Amino acid sequence: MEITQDVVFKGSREGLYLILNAKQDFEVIKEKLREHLKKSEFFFKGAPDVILETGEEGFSLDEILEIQNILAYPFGLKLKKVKHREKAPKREPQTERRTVRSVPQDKPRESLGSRVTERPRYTRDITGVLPDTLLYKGTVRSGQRIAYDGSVVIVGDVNPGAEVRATGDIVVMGVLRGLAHAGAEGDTSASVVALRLEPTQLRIGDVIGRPPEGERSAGSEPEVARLRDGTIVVEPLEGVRWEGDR
Amino acid sequence: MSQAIVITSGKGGVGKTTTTANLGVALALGGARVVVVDADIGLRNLDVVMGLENRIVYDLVDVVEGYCRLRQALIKDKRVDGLFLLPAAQTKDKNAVNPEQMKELIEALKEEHDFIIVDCPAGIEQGFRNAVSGADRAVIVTTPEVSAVRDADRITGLLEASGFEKPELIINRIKPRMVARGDMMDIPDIIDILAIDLLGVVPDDDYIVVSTNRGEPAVMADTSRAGEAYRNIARRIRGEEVPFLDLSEKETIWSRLRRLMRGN
Repeated sequence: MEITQDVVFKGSREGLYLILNAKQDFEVIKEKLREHLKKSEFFFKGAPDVILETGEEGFSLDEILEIQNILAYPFGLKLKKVKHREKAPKREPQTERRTVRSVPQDKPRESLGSRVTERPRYTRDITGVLPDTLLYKGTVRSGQRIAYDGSVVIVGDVNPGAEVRATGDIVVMGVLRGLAHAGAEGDTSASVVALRLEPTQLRIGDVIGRPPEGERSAGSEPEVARLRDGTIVVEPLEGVRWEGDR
Repeated sequence: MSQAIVITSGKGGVGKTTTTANLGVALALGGARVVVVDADIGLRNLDVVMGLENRIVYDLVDVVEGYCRLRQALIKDKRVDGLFLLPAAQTKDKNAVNPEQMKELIEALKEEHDFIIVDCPAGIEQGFRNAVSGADRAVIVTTPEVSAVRDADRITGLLEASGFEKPELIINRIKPRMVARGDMMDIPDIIDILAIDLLGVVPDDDYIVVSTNRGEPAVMADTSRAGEAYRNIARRIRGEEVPFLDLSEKETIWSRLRRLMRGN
């Protein structure tokens, strides 16, 4: 499997992983890194130290110093260590297990220890090293934006004006009143689940939906939003059949 | 000849956003092509007041940064033809845009619209500087309180220093009965301090709270006194001579009865 993106950020218990594709031209990487940081500036604010992971190729010392500079100024991120990754062992995708870990915020959190089995939708080289699911505890408030390459679980509410963006699924263990964008890089099988689904707007893949005007959603039961024939459909979570269910 | 008008105040909570929304609707109902621009990046509200929050896909910062075209970010109002909203970004801050970029944006909007109404954030920092750049005309909103008038005076000075020759004034939330009793600053008192032209006086109206919560600007309701005042202000903006509302509440038998039934 090739890493398709040149610049990837991943939260983990140890810190924020920055995975760079060393095969790519270094100038391109620098530009992409700047762009990525700028786009999600708020997300990275107050983020923990960064661990740079370089894949099999690795960077020269000068290049690492340059990366360190980009992170430090103007984004205020500190490069803690550089990891050189060995070739990932081959795994059977069917039996693959992915760990769910909480994102390190102000203080390190305990690992949940829980395991989630998921049908393999996409396999990436990095899945063996880093968690695919971000667990966020707390209310996501107006103006806050959580963006993650993977799935996101929010234990708390997402308020109007807040935004959650995930390349995979989004689960809100609370009320979703803001904006959620699942499958943000085009995964049309992504879904949004919330204990109460009252979003300002929902996006799945590149489809945008909003609740009908004037109607206050009366449902107080957990619901799931998915794509069906190009439109976003919301249904009660109970009794829902997932792809692959038999 | 299209014009850009910035609605500002210095102090927060005096009704800039309400004024922007209502004037935008009133001007569009009068047949003009109007864009209301939310310059309050990071604390956007105009979309909520206009009931268009759930339609936002792109925002002002996306346009400025080139992520989308200007036309993609404009949201068509759901009730009034010829009215568009350019929403602010919520997950950025005021420094995401600079005055030069705002100026360019306003110029681009002027090409296809008659009125560009910019809702300025409270304060006198970067957000204020962004919002006023590119505007041809400035309207200051104040309420009849000493603190709001003080801030309006500060803003007037700043506007004059940055080349606005004649800022105009809207006095919002006047309570005629309190003024009559001498418990509230009177219109002449305020004009006396600020020494700028009065564009309109908007009476305090409970319906504003209802309309804000519903996302339906008050000008759309015929019965709202504040709505009527905003309709008149819009006509004055277009250059018509409109007499000021008679705010003295006459005690007819009906209004007296209504008042008694409301219990005040």
